[in-house]
Amino acid sequence: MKFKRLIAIALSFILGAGLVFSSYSQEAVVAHAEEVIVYDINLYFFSTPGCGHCAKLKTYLNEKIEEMDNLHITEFDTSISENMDLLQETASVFDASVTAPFTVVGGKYFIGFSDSIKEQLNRVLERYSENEHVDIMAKIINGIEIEESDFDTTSDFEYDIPWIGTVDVRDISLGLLAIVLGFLDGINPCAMWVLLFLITLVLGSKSKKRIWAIGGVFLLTSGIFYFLMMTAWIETVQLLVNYAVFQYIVGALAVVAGGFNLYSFIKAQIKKEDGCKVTNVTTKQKLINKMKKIATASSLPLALLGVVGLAIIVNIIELACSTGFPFMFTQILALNGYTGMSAIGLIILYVFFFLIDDLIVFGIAVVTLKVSPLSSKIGKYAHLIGGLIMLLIGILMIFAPEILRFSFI
Amino acid sequence: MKKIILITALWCPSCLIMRPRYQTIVSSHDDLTIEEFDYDENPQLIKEKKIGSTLPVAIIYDEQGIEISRFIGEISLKKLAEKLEQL
Repeated sequence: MKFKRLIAIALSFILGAGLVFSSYSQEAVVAHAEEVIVYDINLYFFSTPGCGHCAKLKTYLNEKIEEMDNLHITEFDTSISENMDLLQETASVFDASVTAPFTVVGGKYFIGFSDSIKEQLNRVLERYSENEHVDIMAKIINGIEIEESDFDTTSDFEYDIPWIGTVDVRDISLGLLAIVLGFLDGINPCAMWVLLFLITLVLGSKSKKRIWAIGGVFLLTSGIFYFLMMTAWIETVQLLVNYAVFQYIVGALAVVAGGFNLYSFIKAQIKKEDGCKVTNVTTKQKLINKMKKIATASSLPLALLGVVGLAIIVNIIELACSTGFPFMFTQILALNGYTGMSAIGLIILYVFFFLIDDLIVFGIAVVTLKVSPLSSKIGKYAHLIGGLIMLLIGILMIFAPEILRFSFI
Repeated sequence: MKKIILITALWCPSCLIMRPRYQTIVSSHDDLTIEEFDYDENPQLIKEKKIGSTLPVAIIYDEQGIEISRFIGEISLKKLAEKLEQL
């Protein structure tokens, strides 16, 4: 555990969150020292014979009951019709699906079993040991009406920070990760030249309106495309994220991608040549011809339509160049249970930082009517930092995925 | 008079960075001229001059038209001036 905590702290420092995390840890220690009352906890779970996740949950609960004298566990076998009826009633109270294993403790419920659920249960049990709580299941069994306030809506990842207030550690960690990965993904030099060249062509028109329109539509389309692609990916990933094999595959891909980034950096360092690499010249020529047509189109709406198509093509090429940053980020979101609507804010944050270098270059061009490219040295060091982070994420995903769930405090 | 042959490409941001630097150097040297060629539009020249896989490339020729040095990629204006002084 000490080793894992060390890795966690190292990761948090790399992601710029070290200070925040260490202050959380101190908070937690103080809270333990102050608490003396231990409350009894009743945990209920519904299981089905032959269900693999139910067996894993039972193993975990057997360990917990050894550790905690205040924990009382009741199992309901759903092959018995009365228990099945009770599960249906319980699921309807929580407005959840009827699936086993289904665990109820206090005012919370959990469906299925995974490392993530195990960690959440650990937190809930720790919190309930120290705090009075409602036993919803007892109310259901005894036919007592459930009130809205009985449901436990507390996030087990929230901490009170002096002067700041209540914060969700996952929001902070994932937010920082979105900023770092999005920025590193964005300064990858693969597609930057397209924006630069487009701006160069449009600058010739001397029309600020045309520059705003073409550059703006290019960036907006890029952002929307990236957002949709990441949203679609997270929907796929959430179905697979709890399978260890899938995590191993994604982890291995991250290690390969990280290694490739480091190789690119080392190669550039050895050659001592910071410049543009001559690759995919034919594709670039095709894009250049397309851009010339767009820039010279007399009709602005037609030109904008061309820009939309161009942005999509460029971002597809960029995807191959990004060596998996957006996929890795969505994978981590899914690991933390951020899917659907809850993931959207973090994906938007990622996309914003992905576009930030383009926005700066575009902003400077609009104001000064000059093109100011970023040095390829920045891209080179992005390969180094991105490669190291990717390698670390890959290794953690294979050997210690719980650290990537940011629930190690 | 010495001459710089500068090989650039439309798709190359480093070329955009280096072009004004070479122009600054040339404007401060009376004995230096510059001629720019596009990488994609001059395949024969690229082959002849054995241009590698990094752009921009600046080939420096002496008064007799003999290649005396070659600068590849991004170089700061200060370093560029120092290197040219040494030639």
